[in-house]
Amino acid sequence: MNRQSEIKCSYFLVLLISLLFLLPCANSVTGAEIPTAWDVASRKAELPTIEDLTAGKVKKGDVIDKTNVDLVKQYLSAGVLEAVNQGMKMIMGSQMPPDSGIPETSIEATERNKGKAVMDENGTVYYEKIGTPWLGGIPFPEPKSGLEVMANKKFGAGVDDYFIFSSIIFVNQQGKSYKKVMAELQYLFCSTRTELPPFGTYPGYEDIMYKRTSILVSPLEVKGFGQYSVRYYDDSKNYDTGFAYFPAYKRTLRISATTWQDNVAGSDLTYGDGNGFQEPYSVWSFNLLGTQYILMAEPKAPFPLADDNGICKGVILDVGEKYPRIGWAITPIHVVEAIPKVSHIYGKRILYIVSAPYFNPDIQVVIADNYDRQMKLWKVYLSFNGDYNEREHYYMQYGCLMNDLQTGHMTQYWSKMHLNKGLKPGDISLKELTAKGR
Amino acid sequence: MNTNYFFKGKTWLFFFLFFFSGVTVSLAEIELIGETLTVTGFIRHQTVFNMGEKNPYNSNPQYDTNGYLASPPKKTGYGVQQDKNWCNLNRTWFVTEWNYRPADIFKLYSKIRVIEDSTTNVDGDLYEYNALALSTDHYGSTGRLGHDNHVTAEIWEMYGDLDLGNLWLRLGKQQIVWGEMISARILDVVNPLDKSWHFTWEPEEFENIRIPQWMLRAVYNIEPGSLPLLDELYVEGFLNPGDIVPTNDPQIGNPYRHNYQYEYNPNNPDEWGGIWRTTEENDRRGDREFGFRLGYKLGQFAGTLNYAHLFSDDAISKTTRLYGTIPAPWARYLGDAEKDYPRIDIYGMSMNYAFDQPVNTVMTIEATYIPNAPWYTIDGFYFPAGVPPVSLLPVVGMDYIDTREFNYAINLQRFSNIIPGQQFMNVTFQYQGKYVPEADDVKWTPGAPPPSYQNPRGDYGTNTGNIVEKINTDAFVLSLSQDFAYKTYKASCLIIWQPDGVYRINPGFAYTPGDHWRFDVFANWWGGNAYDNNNKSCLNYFYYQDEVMARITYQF
Repeated sequence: MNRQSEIKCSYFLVLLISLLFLLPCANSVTGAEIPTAWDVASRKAELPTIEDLTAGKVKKGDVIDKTNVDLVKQYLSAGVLEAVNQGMKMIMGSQMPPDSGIPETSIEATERNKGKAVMDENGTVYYEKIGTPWLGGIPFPEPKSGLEVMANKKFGAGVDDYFIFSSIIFVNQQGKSYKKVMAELQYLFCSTRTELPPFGTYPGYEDIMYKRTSILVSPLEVKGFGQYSVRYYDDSKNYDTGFAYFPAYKRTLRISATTWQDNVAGSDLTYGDGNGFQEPYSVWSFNLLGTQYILMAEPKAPFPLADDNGICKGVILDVGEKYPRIGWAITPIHVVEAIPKVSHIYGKRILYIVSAPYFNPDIQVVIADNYDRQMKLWKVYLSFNGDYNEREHYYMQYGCLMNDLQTGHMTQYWSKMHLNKGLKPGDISLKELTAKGR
Repeated sequence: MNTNYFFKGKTWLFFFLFFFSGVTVSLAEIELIGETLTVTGFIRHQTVFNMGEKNPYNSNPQYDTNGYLASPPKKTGYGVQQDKNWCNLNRTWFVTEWNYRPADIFKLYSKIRVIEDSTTNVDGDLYEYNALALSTDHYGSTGRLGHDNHVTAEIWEMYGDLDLGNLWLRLGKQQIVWGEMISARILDVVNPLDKSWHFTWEPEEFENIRIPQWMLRAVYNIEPGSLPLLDELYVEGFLNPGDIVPTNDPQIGNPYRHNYQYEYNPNNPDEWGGIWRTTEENDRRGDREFGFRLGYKLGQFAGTLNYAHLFSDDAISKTTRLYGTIPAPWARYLGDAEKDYPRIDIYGMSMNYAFDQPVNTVMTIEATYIPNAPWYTIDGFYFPAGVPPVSLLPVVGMDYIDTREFNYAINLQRFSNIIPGQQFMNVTFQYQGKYVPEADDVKWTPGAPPPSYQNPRGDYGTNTGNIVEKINTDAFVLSLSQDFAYKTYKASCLIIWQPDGVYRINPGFAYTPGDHWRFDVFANWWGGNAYDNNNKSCLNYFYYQDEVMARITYQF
């Protein structure tokens, strides 16, 4: 072998040895070090960061906008991607430790009742046998279908009641806020109670899931307008009941509470958009598309986000007053496609539902991409959380955006949630509508 | 326009208030003591343009010229206005609502309003009248801090709320509204109305004209745990310990006047006056009114059972002395009468049912039964016009009887997606009616029907067949309301049609560009020619009130 042949042989050996090192290394990035989202959702692995997922190209604190959005594109919903292209900026943040989002009592109930959930074809969950109300906790910690994911949302809320003082802000295409409606909202869960006695179900209210009042307090034109509605435990058998108090008429009228597609106070949000998805399950079909890593708004913003007057002043806004610049964190998300079975303003909705270890009380749908009847992307719903009391959970800042991506119009919803106040059924009643009216 | 308008009225006051508000208000609600004491309110100016005719009850040429009157008086009760007015209403409002909430269970509320009515200032064709007459012995003080014919400052509502869990109490000057119907007061019977200015033609329907009274109202919520089947049960009661006030009707000269003056006016001898002289008025101040209702919800059925013990809101007169046939020359009046507000008992019910999607419709039924509704007897003061000479007419005194009366309505309401991409349209359809089994024996008014409706039999003492005063009536109501562009614009239309062939059309448009300003334009058109516009139960009775209203509001 001459000298030249030796050198060639040496190069080949170095290359071969290098490959022997490199190939397993590459294999470990995709398979061994980065767990699947499902493994993280089912608590079998640790949650990776955006830095892990992007091989260091994106780090915590980086700002993502339309110029560099390709770096994280695969972790965004179609609606969020479009919002970024329309001017939204995202700060890369971090997720909270698992199980820090909801109260311990709810986690204990999940453990206690594990494997006891049975569900009918409409997504109504019972304890051990059909007819016995679910006692609380997340019924399907490792959901296998779209309906099980949705059942977790409805029957594993992790809160017994809450009071919200909220601001609904209308932002026009130019990013200028031009209208503000303020409201008080009260929810009382009569079933699946884990925090406050009576636990399980409120005696006498076995067929009710929750009662709710919503009272507008500003501007004067609508002040005192209120709605009282009841969601039944099995909403496929008993559809919602609703009443409204009209201050201009000074009286309470019965209203159809099944008009989910109408706008709330003229905003971009429909009644069915509340909490990401609020319509009865029986008129939708749900298909679990998968469990993926998705960037969602941080479950606890590191700065004050919302107060009684809306978004806090220190929050940076982009495109005028349109998009709050906040932190986003990688989270294992169940992606559910919802198709309406009835004539609907939406052609379909893609719901991004946070997996059990990363729940916040009653905030599970964190992103919803809503398509119009022509299946064009129409509106994106984004949920935000500010400060809250970990473990005790009596206070939480909450906000959401509904951004019409076709017109550029947006509705912002900012609130302070007071959790587990100890509301009683009589606090949410027809009497309350009159008392809160004017 | 009257050149002294600015100074003659107290318009300067409103300019001041407007400026004051404009420079101080920047929030939707002013917090005076944190969130404990807050004030909101609005400033509004509204002008109503008369697109109809001269009000016949202020200027009835028929009565002036047909010889019915013995001699032309200097100023007749029928003819205080010679030319058609262009303005029906010109009003400016400054309304504040005060909330004091020192604790979660207790709240004080007050609505204080300052009103300037400059209608007669801007339209010289109108006869001077008291536009703000809601301050007589019959109405108590009504919380009026000061007033004259054009300006008033008053505490319109003032009450305290106490919320003790299942028991809720409201004590003070308030409106209590029962029932669920639009454009009809079937169960909405507790408070009387101030009909003196814009009747029900406001977009807010009755809110601004329902006269608040001092009352105690209590609602007790019964926990359904002990009541199988029922989801919701409550008992509500009210007690008015003596603040009983009647309906306030428009005064002579008011463009909204809607009946003739049959009554001799002792304060204005120059007016011809009318048929009788009231020697006594038995108002009900100091008496008690009360009522209660039981509300329930059973599955998708909900409703109430009501009872109210009230006094008639409208005065009804009874002759106490007759002077015989009419003497010649023409007399001031024919007899003496007492004015009364008889006791009535109202039994009522409402029931509604909501249909699930895709129907998404609420059906509501509402009805009342009044066993003792006071109606004038048919033979009271019936006068055909012209011949024979008035002096030879037989005179029958007026009286009233307790009559059975039923009022009913059925309502269908739905939110419908008519215009894609916009809010749902609120569509309401309603059928309503009144039924008096003894309708042939009673009538609306004690006075004479118009000359064109002489009794065909030629006798002068009866109105058998109720040709003019048709009492049993019904109507169909269609209400459409559509918001556009995130509630920046709103179009609405109310249509009421009566099978007699008459109708009312009430289209409206509102523009609300933000939190503070609101611009409204509304119209009222009355049509049809049933009973030559003389039947009080038919909508074309208001044929002369075609109008267009423009309103500008700044709310804070």
